Amino acid sequence: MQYCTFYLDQKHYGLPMMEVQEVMLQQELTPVPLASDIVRGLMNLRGSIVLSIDMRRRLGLADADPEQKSIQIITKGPAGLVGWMVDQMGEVADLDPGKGQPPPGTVSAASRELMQAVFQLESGLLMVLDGERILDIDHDRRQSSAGIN
Amino acid sequence: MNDDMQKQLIQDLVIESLEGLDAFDAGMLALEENSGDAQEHLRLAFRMIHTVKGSSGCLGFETIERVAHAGENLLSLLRDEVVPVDKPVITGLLRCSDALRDMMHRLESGETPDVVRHADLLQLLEGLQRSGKQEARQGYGFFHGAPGIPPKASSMESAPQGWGLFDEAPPAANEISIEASGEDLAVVEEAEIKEAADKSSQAAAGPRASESAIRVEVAQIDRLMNLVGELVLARNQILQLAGEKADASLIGPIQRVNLITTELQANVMKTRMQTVQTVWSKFPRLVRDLSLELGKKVALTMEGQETELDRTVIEAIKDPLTHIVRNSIDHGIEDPASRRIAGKPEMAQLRLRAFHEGGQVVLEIGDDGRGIDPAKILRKAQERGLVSSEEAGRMGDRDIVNLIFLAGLSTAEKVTNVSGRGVGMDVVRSNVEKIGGTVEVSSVVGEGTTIQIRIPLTLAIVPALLIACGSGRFAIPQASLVELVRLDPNNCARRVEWIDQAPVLRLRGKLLALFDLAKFLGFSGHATAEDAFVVVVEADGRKFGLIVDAVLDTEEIVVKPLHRMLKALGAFAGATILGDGQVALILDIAGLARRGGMVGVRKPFEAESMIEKHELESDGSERVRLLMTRVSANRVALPLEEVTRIEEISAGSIERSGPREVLQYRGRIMPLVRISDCLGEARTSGDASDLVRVVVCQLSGTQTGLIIDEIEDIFEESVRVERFGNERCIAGSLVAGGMVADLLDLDRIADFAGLKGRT
Repeated sequence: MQYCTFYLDQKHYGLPMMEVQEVMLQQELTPVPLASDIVRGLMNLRGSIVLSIDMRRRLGLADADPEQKSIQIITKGPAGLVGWMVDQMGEVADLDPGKGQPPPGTVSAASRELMQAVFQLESGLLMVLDGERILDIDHDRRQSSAGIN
Repeated sequence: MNDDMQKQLIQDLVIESLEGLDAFDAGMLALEENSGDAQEHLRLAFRMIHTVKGSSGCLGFETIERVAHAGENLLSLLRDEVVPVDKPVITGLLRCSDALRDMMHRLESGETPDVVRHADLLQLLEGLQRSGKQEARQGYGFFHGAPGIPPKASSMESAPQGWGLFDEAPPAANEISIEASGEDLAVVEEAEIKEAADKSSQAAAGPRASESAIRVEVAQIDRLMNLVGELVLARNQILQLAGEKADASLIGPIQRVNLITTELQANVMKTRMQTVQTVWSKFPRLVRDLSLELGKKVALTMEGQETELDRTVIEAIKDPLTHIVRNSIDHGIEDPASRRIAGKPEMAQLRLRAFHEGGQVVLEIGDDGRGIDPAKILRKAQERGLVSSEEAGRMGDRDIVNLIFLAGLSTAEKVTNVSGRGVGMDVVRSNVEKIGGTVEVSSVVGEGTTIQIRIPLTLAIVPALLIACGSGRFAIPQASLVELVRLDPNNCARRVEWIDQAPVLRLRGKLLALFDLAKFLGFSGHATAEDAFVVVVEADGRKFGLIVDAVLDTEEIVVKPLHRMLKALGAFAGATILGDGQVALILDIAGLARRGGMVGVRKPFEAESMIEKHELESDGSERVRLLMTRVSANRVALPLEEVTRIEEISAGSIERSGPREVLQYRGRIMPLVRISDCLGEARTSGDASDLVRVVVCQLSGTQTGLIIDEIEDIFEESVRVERFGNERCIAGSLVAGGMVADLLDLDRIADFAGLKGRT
């Protein structure tokens, strides 16, 4: 199975290739007031509205240098188009899903929930994310009961 | 036959039969009411059921064929007047069509219809035939495969029977034979008919299928609509760029693209339009069945069936309308005995009306039943704690009657299986509001109730006002827009004042609750300028003002759905792409009201009613809202209710059509009328780049632009119209805002401008 990989804060992440529609450079965004801070805004992708999610914030990493041009990985989910804002693209990895392992228990529950599997590559570890879980911020809220707004 | 083909044939059969059965029902109801030519209704019904029988027989669905056949037999006895037209027979035939419809639906979902389910019906139909036969003096063939030739009918009249999918007699012959009824058909005519029939025998599979129409899948039209939406956006972007970098050689083609796009949009929208009839066609049957069940006598009249609405809107109003009609019959209309006592005719009237008004469609459901008793509603509402006694004291009858839209308020004394379970009118309201509509009720005890639903023509592309607030731009759908007020710190009526922490505005003597939109949307550290704007909006029957930084423009926006994650915020109804390619959020006014705690302020219906139109009487004094304008030195007033929009156009965009000045407006040609001409004043001269103010309103049903010099203000006043002279376009003079103004007589202006009799 193919995985589209990308980097966030030097760490290597992946998404199943099937979910990815296209990759594009950062576009101008319209911020959405009142929304959670992981929502960076809305952008116009050839007439369709894409919801841009800041993956660093979603994974609890430090904000990127605002000067740095980020990249949007566009996925098409049942709830609409989503742009995953990442630092940099990696290679496409062709991996056997059976080789993936669940993240060890020492990883915090919140992060573990967002990961589908961890692959051991020669260049390092690749963390494959669970797209649907990433967007389910209500789930997080239910877990932590810390309100977002 | 391969599977795909089989499927397609079945699909065709289902669609065709369902349509035919609707016509069949309509025919039966008309027959029962004895309206129109009974024989014609019967022939039509006969043809419909015969097609169902023939086509399903062809495809080997014997069960359907059998049920249709039974219905056909009864129908033929009816046609030959062997069986009288009475309630049991009509009911039997309607049940037959229900059964056929049911089987069609089963067929569609891949089931095989079975006959056991309809054994009762078959028996009933046979029984009805037998009873008819006993009554008939001269007996005639019982159950032959096709109905017999009635003794007095011409040979041509028997044609319908011989017309199945594979029969020799083609439908054309059938059609002609109907028109050519009578006993003295000449041989020559017959020959002609044969000839015509041969020519059209190709069309045998589709009876009456008009050759100028094709069936298109709704999804296909939706895709087309989306594409046109994209095109509109791209067009907007091009227009904006052209405005910035005006390259003369490009302007021409760009203007053409602009016009073509507008026209394309209008035409694609039109393909999505369906008439209100699509929903209403179910009502005669509904009314009949319900009134029979409840023992009431109801005459249904429908006006404006041809009014068109976008199919998404049609879908959305189907259930609310049905609910209201049920309610009317169940609660509104009294039984015949009570009506007699009340001195009303036993036959109650239920009237459905549809018409266009101010860019919206109005649907009205009125009955002459017992009306809604405000005292009763108020008592119920207080019992359930929906209204405090203090609030109750402040409410007028109208407000009280509109409480029926609150959740949990049902005044039905007994719960019937038709309605009265306390769910309903609140659902009606929320459904209507979901599509940007409003619903209101007006009622007079003892005289009846009218419910009025106002809905936008379409949902996909809506006119909206763009505003700036904080660092963003937002769109407000015009449907929820009431008016704009520019703040002015030096004028107490134009200044934000505070009650505790709540900003308010004095708007024509009433306090209007305000929201600081910037604060509300969390733009911190944002100070609203003193000369900001207040956008007065209305949602859930409440009126309130939004303080915004600037009012930018009006634009036709294409509504795009939001990601589920943002829908949950309840503050935005969608997003759109503006002319510059940027995304703007569409404010959800009802959602904002809820988020802003407006719901807690339970003063639901203080907004001026749309139904209670204050007619301007020349001898009386009524409270009206007036748009005050200036033409030369005259102050000229128009009733605000007549005004659709106010536009500013450049004088250069005015074109001529014959003697008339016209403007291309929203893809149509709108005639313009200079009020200065009506008043006999000299025209204000100016060059093509000057801005001209146009008040758009309906004159004798034609959207017309009235050119005035300046917009001054809006007043809500108790006015007395006095008439001194006999100026041709002035209804009289009045005092508004402490000054005298002339009130325009729109009817006479229409006359003056030669717009009468155009529609």
